[in-house]
Amino acid sequence: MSAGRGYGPDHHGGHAPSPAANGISVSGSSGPDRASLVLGVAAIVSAGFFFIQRGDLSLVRVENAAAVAAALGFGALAVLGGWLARRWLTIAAGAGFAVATAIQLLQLGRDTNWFGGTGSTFSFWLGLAVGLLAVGLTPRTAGPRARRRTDHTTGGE
Amino acid sequence: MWVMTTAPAAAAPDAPHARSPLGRGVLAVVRVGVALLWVQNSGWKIPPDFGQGDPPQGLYAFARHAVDHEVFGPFAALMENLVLPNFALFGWLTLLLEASIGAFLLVGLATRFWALVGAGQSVVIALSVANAPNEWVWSYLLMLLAHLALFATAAGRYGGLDGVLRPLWQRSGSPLARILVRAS
Repeated sequence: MSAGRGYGPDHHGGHAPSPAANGISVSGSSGPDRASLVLGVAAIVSAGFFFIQRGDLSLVRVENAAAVAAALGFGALAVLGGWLARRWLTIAAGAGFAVATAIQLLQLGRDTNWFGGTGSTFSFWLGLAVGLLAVGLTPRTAGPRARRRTDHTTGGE
Repeated sequence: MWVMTTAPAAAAPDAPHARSPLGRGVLAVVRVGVALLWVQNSGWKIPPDFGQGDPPQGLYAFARHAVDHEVFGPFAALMENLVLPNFALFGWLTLLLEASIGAFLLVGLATRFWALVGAGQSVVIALSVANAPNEWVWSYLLMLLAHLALFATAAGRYGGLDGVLRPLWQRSGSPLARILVRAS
């Protein structure tokens, strides 16, 4: 999954004001926001595997309405999180996929399988969950130790 | 699948392996393709018995090849005496490991670490089934080589989350960030 190019205002000094903080909604305003958007689009696109349930092109098992709803719902949250530069939406999407992933894992091979998925569903959603949570939870400004290091090298200016 | 354009390589000291947009795009496609190999093949490893039974099926049948069509003696002995008698446990470990390889390579997170794990698992699979009937040994050698290429090129830095988040991890002082810098 290609999640963005990684070169945005946040990556060069971190002093650029957040568009969201200015009340301006800008699509793909930073690398992490673009990544959230791309991961959300991938989740939404994956719902299309509902129509490809057999054969070599069935890369991910998306078998029932619950799985489609999870992919579309959490995917839309991730897209919104990236589009509006709202990290909490990205984290919510990641948390949603994490819960769905855990449920899918616990129900693999059982008669009760709410999402009707297999290990492929588990693996795909695991990627979306860890990816969105990593994007949402990674601090976008330098930590105290890194700031001290920078202050030291620049003479504290 | 949306492969975003990337900035010039001159602006990317952490991404020295592919200097053209085409090169970076190809690396991203290879990474996603290899990831989908693991994702899709997590689908037929079905708990709780993973194919144990008469006749053996699924993962258990493939694991038996390591003993019935031995590739490497010590590995066959390990499979016969440790893995096959405790197959439910090793089935779960296999499923979780391979699903995780697919998941992390798919989004390009901690890619170098997971590429090495994938290379290791490719060796395990080769040692299990390379001598089995109707198997093509180059399949597994190609798997191994693909993962080594993903590791050598740090492929997650091209269109993956490593490329997005690594600069932030490098600026952070946290232990987890330092681990992720090394893993990416």
